[in-house]
Amino acid sequence: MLLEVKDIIKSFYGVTALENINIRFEEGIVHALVGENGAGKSTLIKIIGGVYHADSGAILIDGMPVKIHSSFDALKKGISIVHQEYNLVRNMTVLENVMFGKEITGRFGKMDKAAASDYLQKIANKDNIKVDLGKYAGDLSSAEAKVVEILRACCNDMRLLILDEPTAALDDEDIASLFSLIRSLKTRGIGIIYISHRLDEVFQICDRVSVLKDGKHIGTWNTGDIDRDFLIKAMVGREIKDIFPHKASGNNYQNSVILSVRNLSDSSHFDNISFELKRGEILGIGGMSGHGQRELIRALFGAIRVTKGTIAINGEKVAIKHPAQAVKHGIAFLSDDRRNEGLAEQQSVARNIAYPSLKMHSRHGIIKSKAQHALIDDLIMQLNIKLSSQQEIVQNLSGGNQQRVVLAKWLPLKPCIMLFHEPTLGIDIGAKVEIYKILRNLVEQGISIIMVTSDMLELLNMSDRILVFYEGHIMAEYPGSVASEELIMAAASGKPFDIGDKE
Amino acid sequence: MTIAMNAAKAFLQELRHPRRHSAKIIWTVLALLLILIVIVIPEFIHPLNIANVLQQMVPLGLVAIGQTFVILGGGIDMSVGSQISLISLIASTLMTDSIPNILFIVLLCMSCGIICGALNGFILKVFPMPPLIATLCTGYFFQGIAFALHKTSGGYIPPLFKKVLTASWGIISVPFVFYLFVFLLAAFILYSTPFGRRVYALGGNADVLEKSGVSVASVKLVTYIISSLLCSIVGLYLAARLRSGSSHYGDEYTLLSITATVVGGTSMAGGLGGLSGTLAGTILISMLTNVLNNIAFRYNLQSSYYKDIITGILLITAMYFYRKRE
Repeated sequence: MLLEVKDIIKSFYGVTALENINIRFEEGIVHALVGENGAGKSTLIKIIGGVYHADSGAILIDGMPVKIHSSFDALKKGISIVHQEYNLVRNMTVLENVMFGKEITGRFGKMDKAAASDYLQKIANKDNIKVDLGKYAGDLSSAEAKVVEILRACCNDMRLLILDEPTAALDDEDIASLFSLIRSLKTRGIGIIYISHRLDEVFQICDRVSVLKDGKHIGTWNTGDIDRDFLIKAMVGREIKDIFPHKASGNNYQNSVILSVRNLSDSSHFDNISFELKRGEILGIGGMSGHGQRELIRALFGAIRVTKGTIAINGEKVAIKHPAQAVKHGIAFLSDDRRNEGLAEQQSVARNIAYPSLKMHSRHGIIKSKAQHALIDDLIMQLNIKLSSQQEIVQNLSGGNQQRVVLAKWLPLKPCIMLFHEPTLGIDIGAKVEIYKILRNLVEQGISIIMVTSDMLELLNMSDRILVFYEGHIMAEYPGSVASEELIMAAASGKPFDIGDKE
Repeated sequence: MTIAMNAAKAFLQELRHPRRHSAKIIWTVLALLLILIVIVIPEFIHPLNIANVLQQMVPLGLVAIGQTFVILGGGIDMSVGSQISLISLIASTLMTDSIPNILFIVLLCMSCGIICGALNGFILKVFPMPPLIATLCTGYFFQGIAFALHKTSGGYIPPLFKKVLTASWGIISVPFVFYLFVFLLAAFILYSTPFGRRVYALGGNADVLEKSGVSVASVKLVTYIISSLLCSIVGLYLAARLRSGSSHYGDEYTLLSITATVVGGTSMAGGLGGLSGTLAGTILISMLTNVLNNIAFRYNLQSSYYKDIITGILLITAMYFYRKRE
């Protein structure tokens, strides 16, 4: 046994991220780590990689307990992580990138490029890695960059290699060559932890798989002993609690289409997206994060430039190139990043609420403060925001109350479409129930909602219709009444079931 | 013929859309400008004037080399000007005619330079703050000490010291030879030693460096020390040349050294650029200064204002021109 985590517990600000995790990673075994967003995979990896320190529990290497103090410490102990995101210096060559910290020098401290290149070539040959050492890192394809990062790991006498979503940006051919590299590393006895959302890859390349869910270790199996359905169930199998308001049974708005999006594309995140939004509907958008949902919802609000396609509101084509135009067309946006995109945290509730509607409440450029004050009081009552006064600083409010302040900010503008990105992120369960009620109220008033969320329960139980994104495309669309966790997970990992097949 | 055409096309393409750092642009601009100047003011290439320009560019050239190290590492040194003034005053306050004393003061001044740079690097290590603010503050600090030493200019510099530091034979002069030596040494450090490569990585993606087990803070520290050490040499040189110290000698060098670096194609974001561009930037600025002085002399104008205006325009133009690179 190479590395073992034992009774690892980690919590952030009282929220448990990992609960008693026990997993053994062996030499020469490709060990997959799977789970939904927020299941605790990246926290566990960061603990093994020395970025975080566990609250309690132990890490054992070769059976001996060790402390891993920093990412460099992890490196010295033979643990290398290849992160999902690009981690090279673009304007330097592959050779230079790999050799930082272990440069070979000759007389007067002059670097010996020939010796370095020989040294690297030898290491590369072990695993049959082919890479042009003189190429600039910025000119490498995503696949080549991954290989270079693995080569860099190989130079550190690595024993355990952690690959975080290594195939996220690769095409099939690149994946095949990456897999043959992984197999070569495996035969040399290197242990590999493979994190991926793509379950087919897990069965293709991994020997063993561990499932994490809500910070708990659900189980570890040999991939030969289980099938895909079993794995999906292990990842999502949970009971639905009584926290969601009932969906309106009938639609009072005669299915009139308010927003229609045709062939919308941006430079790189989403491609050829078409859908319609009906009046008084909650349209949920699901999928693993990073598959274009974030960018789409911002593009609808004019915060990201689209390169192709049209947006029509009430049947009329509109140009939305800037958030100001979106607001003019009655679109409101509630970001997942309240701190940066939603609120001026250091300022009072009253000021925050007033910003978008300042013009409405001023005459000749001077704010009518009385009218504004009354309006804000009204909103605070209506949304049941708990405050001592309007002057309270937003930063001091709970997540749920902050989200309500963002809502209050938009309501005076009477939006017809509201875009929510992670409407209940960082909000505790009691406040979630309240937010869900407010969302239901809004759609009953005829407002339409698009909701991008990574919370599976929220997506299933709040949406009237669900779109599932995969690699910038809409992979599947399900009516809210039909959708299930299994259906969505399958579509989100690129292999949608046919609804007919399932039933 | 077609080959030449294609080569010219490729060159123009490269000029318009430089892939990474290209000092070609600034050297081309420099060459064109030189031709223009020679046509308009033929006396510019008089050997005496050339010798003059080459000597005039030395202080700026030295400061700009240091500034290039700092900017390549993703920082900026706003304190160079006041360091130069401070060192010139320390030298002029303490120097006497005895040779051992002169040597001692030179070493003392260089040590002071190293301390100034270490202070900048240390502050940035302990308090993570924008280097612009940190060095602006230390700059005021150094300037304050300089004022305390002497309100304007004064002190004493032995004639021997001036004689040695400004000796010249035709076009060749001690300062220029010294500058060439420093330039080549700096180029060797930047391009051929691990430290130099780490400076580029520091500005390009410090995370990579950290994860390779290289101390990011110490690489940064050394870039600021290099900058300050060169400032102290410039302070000594200016004190020798003018045979006094002054709390204003360094004033212009902060913005000029940044301009020379940026005009030479080094990215303000760090990690991209190099010394060849900075050399061209230095020559460009010195040439323009010389020409402005010439014109001002002819028409009896105050040239220093125009120089300030042109420096500002040059820096903004360069930033605009280079903005689209990664």
